[in-house]
Amino acid sequence: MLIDRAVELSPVGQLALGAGWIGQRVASNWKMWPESDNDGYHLAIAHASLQKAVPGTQYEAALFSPDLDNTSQARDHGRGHVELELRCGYDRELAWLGTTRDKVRDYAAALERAYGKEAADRILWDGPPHALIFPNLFLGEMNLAVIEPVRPGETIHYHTPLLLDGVDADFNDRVLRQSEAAMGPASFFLPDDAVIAERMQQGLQVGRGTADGWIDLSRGAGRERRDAMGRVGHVSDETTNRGFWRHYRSVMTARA
Amino acid sequence: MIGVSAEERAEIEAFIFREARLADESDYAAWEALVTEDMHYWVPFGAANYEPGTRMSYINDNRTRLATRIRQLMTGHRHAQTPPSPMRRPITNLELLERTDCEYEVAGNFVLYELSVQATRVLRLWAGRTTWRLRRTPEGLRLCRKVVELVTASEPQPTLAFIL
Repeated sequence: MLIDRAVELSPVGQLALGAGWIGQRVASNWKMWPESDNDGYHLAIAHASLQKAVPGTQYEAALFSPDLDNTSQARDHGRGHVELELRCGYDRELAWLGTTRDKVRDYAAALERAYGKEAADRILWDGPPHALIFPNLFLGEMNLAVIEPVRPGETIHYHTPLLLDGVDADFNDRVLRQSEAAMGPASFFLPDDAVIAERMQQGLQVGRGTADGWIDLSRGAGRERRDAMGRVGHVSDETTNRGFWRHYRSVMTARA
Repeated sequence: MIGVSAEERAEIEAFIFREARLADESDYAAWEALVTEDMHYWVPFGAANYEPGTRMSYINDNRTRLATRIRQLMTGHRHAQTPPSPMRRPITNLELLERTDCEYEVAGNFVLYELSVQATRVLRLWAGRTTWRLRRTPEGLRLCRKVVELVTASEPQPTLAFIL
């Protein structure tokens, strides 16, 4: 279902993953990355520098605000698959592409021809999912990322832009440019996540075997609710982190 | 360096060494003052043998994006460079690749020593070849293109949040 939502962004229902994979090497355990990639609370702190340098990004309404007027949601779909559902927090259509309909008329028209007006309007509002397919495939909006464990204290975070078949070249150029800005070792987001993961790794090493070796993941546990798709909380709640770890515990303690 | 006068050579080297020192010392504002309004800063994936923007690069900054990069570094909240990494880079093997009426294209090798003080405190070695496109302006030489081909450019990189 999550992958379908990414695929339907293409008017011909096909993704093109040929623009190359960039890898960032991080001195942290791999399990910090399903958390970091799908945590809605850290944005305003870990990425404060980007918020200051580039005010008004697509994340302003849907992610940066931890307040209740931010209507994005954190979802636990079960079996470790989790999502930050930003589409219910966007303040306009195409927020996910940082643009407006008049700039991508050909794309909007192609979607309408393929799926009809109602579905095209919905796709233009919703955009791609921001979600983890357990355990290590990250649907990072217009990026696809793979979290590769190297050893307990080392991980490589690989990504490629989610280019689409059946769209004009300008559209894919825009996606590639956004991807260069968002992910990778020299991008505006990932380096800050990486250094914080490395600091956490060091902190956990120090606290290993003692009461300090625990991380509290209870934020929002009291206001979490259930709906037809699973558990759901406010986007700044740790519903996603709990969903990942709950399933991790289940598979790691299951009898073969 | 063949193809330039002794005086030009001294001027080009002085510019390149100053640019390197400002980058080493994370003096972002002074570094940014050396670049032109049409500056292009490119760190390709693999060799610089493709058109930037046609596939993924580590860095592919036009002037606007470079300004964003520097603005982000200067917020004081860029955790990946807080505090800035102590760095030093010797630059050698300078060659003139091309000259026009007002521009020089010069390439050289570098080895960059970076202490990643933000978390791991590991000494990282970066090596590669830089191509500088320098333009003569009323204010002196200015940098209008910088291309950095890392020796390790086809491998995953550690955090690279400073100016190469």
